[in-house]
Amino acid sequence: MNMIETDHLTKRYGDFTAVSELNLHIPQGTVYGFLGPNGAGKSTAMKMFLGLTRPTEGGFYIDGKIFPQDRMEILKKTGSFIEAPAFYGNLTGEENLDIVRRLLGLPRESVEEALEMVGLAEYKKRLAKKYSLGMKQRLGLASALIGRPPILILDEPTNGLDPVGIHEIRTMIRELPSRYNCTVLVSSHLLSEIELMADLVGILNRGKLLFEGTLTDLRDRARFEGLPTDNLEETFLALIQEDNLKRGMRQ
Amino acid sequence: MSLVCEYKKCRRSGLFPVFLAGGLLAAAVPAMNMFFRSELYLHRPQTPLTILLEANWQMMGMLNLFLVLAGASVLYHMEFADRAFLRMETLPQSMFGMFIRKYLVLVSVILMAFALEAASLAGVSICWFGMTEGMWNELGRQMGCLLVKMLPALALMLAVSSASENLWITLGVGVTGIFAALILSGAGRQNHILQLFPFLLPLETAWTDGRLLLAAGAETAAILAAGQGYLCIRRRFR
Repeated sequence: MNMIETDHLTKRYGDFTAVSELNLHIPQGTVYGFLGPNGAGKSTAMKMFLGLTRPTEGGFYIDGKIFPQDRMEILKKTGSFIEAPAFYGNLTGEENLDIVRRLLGLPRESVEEALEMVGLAEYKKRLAKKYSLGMKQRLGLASALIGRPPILILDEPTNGLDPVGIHEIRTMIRELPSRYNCTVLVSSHLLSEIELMADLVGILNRGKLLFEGTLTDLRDRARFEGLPTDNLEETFLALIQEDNLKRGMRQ
Repeated sequence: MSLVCEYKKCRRSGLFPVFLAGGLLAAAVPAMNMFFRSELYLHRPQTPLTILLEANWQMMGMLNLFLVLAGASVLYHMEFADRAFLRMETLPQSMFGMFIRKYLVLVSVILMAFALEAASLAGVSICWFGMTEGMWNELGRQMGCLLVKMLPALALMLAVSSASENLWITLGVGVTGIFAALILSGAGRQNHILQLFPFLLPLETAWTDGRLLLAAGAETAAILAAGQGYLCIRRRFR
């Protein structure tokens, strides 16, 4: 069963098409890596899933529910981290999470649990505006993870983290489906990161989905199309370049 | 539960200390005025509260309007400053519901300021004029009317603040509105339409006509509805 499924999802801003006819299929209990260069439309697609921006055409289902009719139901089950950490600077880390906890109707213990998951328990009493960039990132992740939601939408969650932090967060994301039966949609422009986390990948370029499947499927396709297969980064870059060339020729 | 969240968000934002300090400052106005100029007021024929309000309310009302401006600005600046608003939009709550809760927070803090000012007026009245019959009823009625007349300004400033991520726009609109009210106060006495200007309404103590209070209530509801309309449009066209 697909936890998230899109149907010709499109977003245009005037003449510019940010997302074009996107058909994603994200099975339940998987980590789905959403890959693409900067400006590919990954964040825009994720914002549409959360109701932050309205699709121009098409639609999507999250756990069988539709936006905007089932907005509350969808948001109750979805934890998210979009673009950059969002918090109240005048509150401590703990207080920030307590606000989210109360709005989600979660027990008090979920705050401490979320802080432990991201390694911020030691700094919970510090004001969020005094946090370093990495700590703010972790706070944003804690806010997404609090209450262990069944669906997680994470936009570049390891930005700003040190290598140890990246490893910790990546390991945690990797274990979420098996531990908590969670479905994770995680975006990145770094193939190496997605390679270590994701069960399935979707590659986006200039709003269009170029590929969806496992990494093995990606290698097979690359071999079939005569693209480099020695290393996935080269395969990815070749795929993007080929698409850019096709667009250049059409234009 | 969600209203508790709105109060918790205000920790260390300065909202409560500002309203406490502002309320005390406004409460000091009648006391200082009587202390230094009591001979101007002691022999007037009206009731003590009427004398005190006519002499002091324009200054007190203006201070209250500045407090409302500061409060409305702070309530949404804390949401926009570190993008907390974005997180709130991805939680299962209505953004209009959040707007109404913030409005209730603003009403509660202005009530705190009003309570201080009412206590000061009562104290000054008793001290200089002695206890008079019906003083408490009159005080309750007058302060109640003034609170109702303040509600449209609260709603308007909060709506402007919710629409503008830039704090300076909110402050600019508020300051312009307050000074416009001071300029229009003379003309407003003759013009029923001008009387409904949200920044002018709270400054005039003599306007206690029931129809005006109903109009203030309707104006508040209209501004709150406009706030909801704006939130719907913003989501639709983002």
